[in-house]
Amino acid sequence: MSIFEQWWLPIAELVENRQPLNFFQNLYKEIYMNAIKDDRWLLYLDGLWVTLKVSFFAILAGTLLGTVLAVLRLPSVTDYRYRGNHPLKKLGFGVLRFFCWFAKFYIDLIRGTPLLLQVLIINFGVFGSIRIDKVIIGVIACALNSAAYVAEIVRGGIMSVDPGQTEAGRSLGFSGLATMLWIVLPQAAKSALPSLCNEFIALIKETSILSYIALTELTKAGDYIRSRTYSAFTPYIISGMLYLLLTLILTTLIRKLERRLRASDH
Amino acid sequence: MKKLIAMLLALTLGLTAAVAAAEPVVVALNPEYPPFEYVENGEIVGYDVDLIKAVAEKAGFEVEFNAMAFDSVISEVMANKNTIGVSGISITDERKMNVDFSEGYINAGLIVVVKEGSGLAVKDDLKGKKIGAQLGTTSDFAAEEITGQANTETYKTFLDAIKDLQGGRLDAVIVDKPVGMALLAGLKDDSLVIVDMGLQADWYGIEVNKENPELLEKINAALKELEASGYYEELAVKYFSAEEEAKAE
Repeated sequence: MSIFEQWWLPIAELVENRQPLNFFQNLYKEIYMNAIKDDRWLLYLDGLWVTLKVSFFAILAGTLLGTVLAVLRLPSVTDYRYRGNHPLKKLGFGVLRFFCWFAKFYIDLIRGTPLLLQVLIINFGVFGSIRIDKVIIGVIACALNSAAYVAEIVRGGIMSVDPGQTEAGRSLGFSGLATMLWIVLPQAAKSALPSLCNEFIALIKETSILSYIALTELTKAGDYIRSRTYSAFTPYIISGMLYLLLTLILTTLIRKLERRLRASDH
Repeated sequence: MKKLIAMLLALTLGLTAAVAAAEPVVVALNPEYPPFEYVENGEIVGYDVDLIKAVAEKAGFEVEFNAMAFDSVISEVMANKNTIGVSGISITDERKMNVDFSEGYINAGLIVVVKEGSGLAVKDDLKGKKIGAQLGTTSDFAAEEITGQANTETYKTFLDAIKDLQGGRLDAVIVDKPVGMALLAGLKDDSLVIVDMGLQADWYGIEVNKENPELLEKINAALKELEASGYYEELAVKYFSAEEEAKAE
């Protein structure tokens, strides 16, 4: 018998006899029931692992997709009119303008509807009859949602870069795409980083919505334990602390990165 | 200024007094469980709702409904002395550790919903299969016992589980018998069939806060009277007749 169970025995007796518990006994009862008994702490760790997986891949995919959307919406793409007669180039610019319109439409659509509904629609609608891992559905839903927000953040970052940088790149012989990739985006990333960090933290917390589609992530782990122990809120506090741990680690990492990027400022 | 404060004070006191005088019993329930409790034309209705209204009338108290998720009902009852839980809640030993239960008023029984032609016929067939249920219900506990926690998918409402079964992402859904019957009758989906695997079922009871034995006594007395007067049969005819028709087809 472990030490935790030995501490529990006298309290269990009090509970059995319907005796009132003092504050510390009650606290230990809550912790014992919701984390120690039946190795329930493992369930939180499983949930944490799922949340971590979903968040990581959703952030990765969301940032990539968001950056593409941001570039498509740039004035240099939207406002350029091709006045030549080359049919292929004409078609190319037509396609670009369509993508730009689509990016705007997509961002408005995703930002204007609740994530919960998007998750439910993607789960029961889009993937309604396909048997795939719920983790993948979660990543897809969260990444599609996050991309819309990231797009606007990155666009702001790009617009804060002096147009002279693009002109310099172009006159040095870089192509338009190479200038964007190697000159503008790295500088844009630096000024967009604080807002991006905000978005990443929001995304980590919003993965809790995936509990609605029976994905056993951190919030669902708390929900599950609560449905077994009937505790009012203790499992939520434990889950909440783990979310806090995740976001604090992320914040620290991004702050370090910001400091490294600032080192070249002077 | 002083006058104003005095007036406000009087008003607040008056209000609290008025509230204290009526003091309706709050009924916590999850109205997504037809035919026991569901929302129709913006009103919460169902077997349980009729029953608790009849009990309240007999016992002489007012009721006020408070809708929430099923897994919140019990904690709400535990936290508030004046709240009772009437939401198709099965009486289990584990729940009894936290709240008091009235006498059971109906024994629903559990059934299994599967896809037509799945070949799942007895309890042992379900071992290792993906089973869906509503979180924190006896169906959830039964599923976990049969197929293990890793293969049990728990949902906020059992309807979502049925949707995932239709989509082929679950092999079976366990649900209370009248609920499953009513659902299939309403769904008209021929690809789903109901199998009775004789799963252990418990009586439904009314949850009462442990510190309110007077209320529990009143409720039990009222239930006894209602049972004697044949009210249970009346309710069964009113709410389960659709299910009987479905069975006859």
